Amino acid sequence: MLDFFAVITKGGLVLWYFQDVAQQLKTSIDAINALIRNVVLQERGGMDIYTHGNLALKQQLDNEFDLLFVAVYQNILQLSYVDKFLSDVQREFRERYRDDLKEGLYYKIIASGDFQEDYRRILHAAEAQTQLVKAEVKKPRSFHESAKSTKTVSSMIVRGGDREQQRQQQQAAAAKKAAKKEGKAKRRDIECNNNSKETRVEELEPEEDEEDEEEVAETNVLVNGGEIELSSAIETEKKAEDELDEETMRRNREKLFNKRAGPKTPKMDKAKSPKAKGKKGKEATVWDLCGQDSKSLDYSSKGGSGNATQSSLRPDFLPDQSQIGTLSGNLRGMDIPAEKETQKKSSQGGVFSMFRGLVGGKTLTEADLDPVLEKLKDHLIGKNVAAEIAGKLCQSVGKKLEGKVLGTFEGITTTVRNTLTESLVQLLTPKRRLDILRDVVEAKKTGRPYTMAFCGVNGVGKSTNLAKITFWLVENEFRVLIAACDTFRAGAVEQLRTHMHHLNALHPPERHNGQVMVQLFEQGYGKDAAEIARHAIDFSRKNGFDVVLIDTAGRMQDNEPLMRALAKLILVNEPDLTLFVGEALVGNEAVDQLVKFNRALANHSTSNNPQIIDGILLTKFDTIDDKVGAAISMTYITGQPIVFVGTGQTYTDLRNLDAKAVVHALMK
Amino acid sequence: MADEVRAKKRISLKETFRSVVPELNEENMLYLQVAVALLVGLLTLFLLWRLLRGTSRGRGILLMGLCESGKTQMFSRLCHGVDVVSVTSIKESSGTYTAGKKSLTLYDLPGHERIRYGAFEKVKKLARGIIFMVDSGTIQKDVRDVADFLYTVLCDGAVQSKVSRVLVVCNKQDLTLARAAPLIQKTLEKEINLLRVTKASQLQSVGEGSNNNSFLGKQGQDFEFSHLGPIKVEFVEAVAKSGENLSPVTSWLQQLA
Repeated sequence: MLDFFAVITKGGLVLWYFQDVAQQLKTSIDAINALIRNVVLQERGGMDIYTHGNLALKQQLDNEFDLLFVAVYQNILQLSYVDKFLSDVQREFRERYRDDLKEGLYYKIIASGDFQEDYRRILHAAEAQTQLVKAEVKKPRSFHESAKSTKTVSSMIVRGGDREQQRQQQQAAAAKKAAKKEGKAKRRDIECNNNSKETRVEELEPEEDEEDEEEVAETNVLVNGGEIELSSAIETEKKAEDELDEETMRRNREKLFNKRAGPKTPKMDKAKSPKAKGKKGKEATVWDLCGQDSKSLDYSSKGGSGNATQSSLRPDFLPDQSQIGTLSGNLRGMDIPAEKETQKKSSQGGVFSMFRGLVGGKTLTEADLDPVLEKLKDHLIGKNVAAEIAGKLCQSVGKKLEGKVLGTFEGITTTVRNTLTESLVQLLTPKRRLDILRDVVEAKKTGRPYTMAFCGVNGVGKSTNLAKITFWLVENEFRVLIAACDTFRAGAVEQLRTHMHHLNALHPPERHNGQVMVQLFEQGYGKDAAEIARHAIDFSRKNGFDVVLIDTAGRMQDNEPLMRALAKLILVNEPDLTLFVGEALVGNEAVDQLVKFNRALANHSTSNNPQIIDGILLTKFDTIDDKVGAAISMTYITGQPIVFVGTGQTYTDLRNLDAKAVVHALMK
Repeated sequence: MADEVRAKKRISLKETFRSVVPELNEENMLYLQVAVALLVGLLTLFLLWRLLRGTSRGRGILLMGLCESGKTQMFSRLCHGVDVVSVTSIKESSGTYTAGKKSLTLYDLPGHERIRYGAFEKVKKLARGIIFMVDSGTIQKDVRDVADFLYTVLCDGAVQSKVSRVLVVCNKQDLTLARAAPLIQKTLEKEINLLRVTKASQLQSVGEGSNNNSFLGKQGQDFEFSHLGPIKVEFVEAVAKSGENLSPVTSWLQQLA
C-alpha cells in the first residue's frame, strides 16, 4: 500500500528507504524534495498531509537525532494507519541504531541497510490491525449489543409529546454505546487473544450499563439544548425535569425566531422597491459650472497637457531637486529604533530559571513547550501578526522542537525564542533571486519591455509607490512607461500625470540624450483596464521603453466583478511581476486580502498554470514603529518575498526588506 | 654555640651571594623586575596571537551551490567514498577529508535560498577554501541564479579576508548536454559583469544593515575571475556520481591541506 518510505537526515542523506516496485525512485525523491521545500522550509510543519501530483506524503520529525521520516502513497488511498505506523517505525529505527545516530555515523547505517525486516514486520502489523478493525466494524450486532437489550419497561412508556425525540436520543445513545463496546471488545481481544469474547462482554455488562445511563443523560442535553456543553454534573434523577425545561426553552426560541424572521422579509422587499422606482424617473443632473463648460475643466485629454504641465509644476509643488541622483547609489538606511534588547525574560523569576537551567539536559515535550509557545504567540499577535498565522507559526516551531534534548545551560524559553527567531528570518528570506534590475536588462536584451502590475485594496498607496519605483528605475537609466489602468477613481489619471511631470522635471531629457524618461499612457476613464495595459505594452515596444508599470484601480477583495477584471488584466498581459501592494498597518485582514486576491487570480484564469501574486510591496512602513507583523503574515500566506518597502512620502523613500532587522524589531 | 654557628653561616651565605653578583643592588633590582614583567607580557601576547591566528586560519572547506547541483553527493564521495541517495538538505553537515597526514573539514551547506545564507553565516569564519558546485547540464537556464549566489559569496567580507582559493566544480559532465568548464567560466564572467552594475544600484535595505557592495574585479574593465586578487578562482570538470572523475577536486584539496 505504501509506495515509498524513507528515513532522511536533515543533512539530506537518505539513510534507508523502501520502494514499491511500481514506483520510480526519481518520482518519490522529487515528491520528497517538494515536501521539504514547501512544507519544512516554509514553516508549515503543522500541516497534516502534503500532496504532490497524485502522491500523498506524510512526515514526522525526530528532533533528537535530526531525522525525518517520510511515507509516500497514492493520493486516492485512505490509509488510516500511516500516523501510527510512522511513529512505530521511528521508535524501532531509533532503538536499533541509537548508538550510531548519537555518534552521527550515518554512513555506517547506510552501509548496513538491514532495516528491511523490521520495516516489513511493522508494516504487516499495522496492516493487519486495520484489517481487523475493518472486519469488526462490518460484523452485525448481537442482541446484547443492540439498543433493544438496554431498554427497560419503564423506558418504553413515553410521554406523548416527547416520543419522537426520545427515540432519536436513544438511537444516538445506543449507537454510541455499541461503538464503545466494540472498541472495548476489540482492545480486550487484542490484549488477551481470547476467543470467548461474547461471554466477556456479558460479564462486563452491568458496569457498562451505568455508564450508558450517564451517557443518555448527556446526549439529552446535547440534543435539546442545541449547544455543545458537557455538563457531567447532571444526575440521572433530574433527567426528566431537565428534558422538559430544555424542551420548552427550545420551543420558545423557535417562536421568537419565527417572529423575528417573519416581518423581516417583506420589509426588505419594501426597501428595495422604491429605490428601483426612483431610478427610473431620474434625469441627468445639470451642474452649475460657474460659467465654464465641462470641456475647459477636463484635464484628462491630451490636448490640454500643456496647460496641465503648467499647473502641476507650480513652484510650491515642485519636488526637491536635491533628490536627484540619490537612489542610483547608496542611501541612508531608515533606522528601525534599534534599542538594546530589553528582553522580557521568563516571568518565573531569575533565580528559579537559573536552577531550571542547571537541571537541564532533558528532552522537550509538548507540555513543556505549550506555555512558552502560548506566550510567544500572544507576543506575535501583539506585534500585529495575524492571529491565525501566529498560531500556525508557533505550532510549527513546537513540532520542530518536540523531542529535542536541551543542553545543560539552556532554558526552554530562550531555546524556543531562538528557534522562532531563526524560523522567522528563514521565512522572510526570499525563496528566489530578487534582482529586478538584472531582469529588466534581460528583458531588454530580448527586445520586450519588463512589465510590472500593481494590485491591492483601496488606499494602500499603489500609485504613490509606483511613482517611487519609477524614480528608482529612472535613476538607473531605464525608460519607464506608466500605464494608467485605474479608469475608475476620479483623478487617478491626473495624479499619475502630475507624477510624470515631476519625474521628468527631476530627470529632464537633456540629461538623458534627449530621451523622455517617463511617459504616461492613458485612454481616459471608463475603459477596459486590460485593453489599456495591452496597448501600453505595444506602445512601449514600439517606442523603446524598458519598463511598463501598470497601475490598477484599488478594489476590495470581495468585489467579484472587479476581481474578475483584475484576473483578466493579468491573464491578457502576463506581467513579469505581479506585485500585491499591502499596507503594513493591516492585521488579521491581511490573510483575507491575500488569500482572496490569489484565489481570484487562480480561479478566473483559463490557463493550467495561472499566474498569481509573485511579490509583495509593503507600504506605510514608517507608520508602524515596531509592529512589523504584517510582513510576516503576508510572506507566510503567499510564500512570496517582499520586494519593496515604502517608508515615506518622497520619491526616495523606497527600500529593500532586511529580514534580520524586521525580525529583531518583531521579537523585541 | 649552635646559634652562633648558624648566624655565621647565614652571614657567610649572604656575603658569598654578594661577592658573586656584586652589581645586584637596589637599583639594578628594579630594572630586573621591569625586564621580567616585560618578558612575561610579551610572551602572553605572543601566545594569544598564536591562539587567535590558529582559530582564524580555519581548516574548513565549504561546499556550496544551488539545489541539486550535487553537493551532498560530492560530500559523501569525498568524505566516505560512497554513493548516496539524497534529498534537499535542511541543515549543514560536516565531515573530515584526509589528505595524507593532514586533514580538512568539509562542510556541506544547504543550497535552498531560504537557508543557504543562514548556514553560510555560521561556518564562514572557519573557511579556508570554497568548492562551488555547478550543474553543467542546467547552467544555461540557471546562470543568473548561479552568478548571483557566487557573486554574493565572493563579495562577503569574511570570504575576502580568509578564503584564498575557490574551486568551481562543473559537475555532471557525464550528461550529454553538459557544458565544458571554459564555456561556463565565460558565461559566469559575463553575467557577473552585469551583476556588478545592477547590484551596485540596488535599493538600500530597511534597518541599519549595510549593503554589501564591495566592487569585484578591476574598475573600468570587464570582469574576469583572474582580477579577483587575493582569491584564486579555478574551474574544473568533474563527475561526482560513482566517483568517476574526482581527481581534479582531490588534487585541489591536497594542495590546500
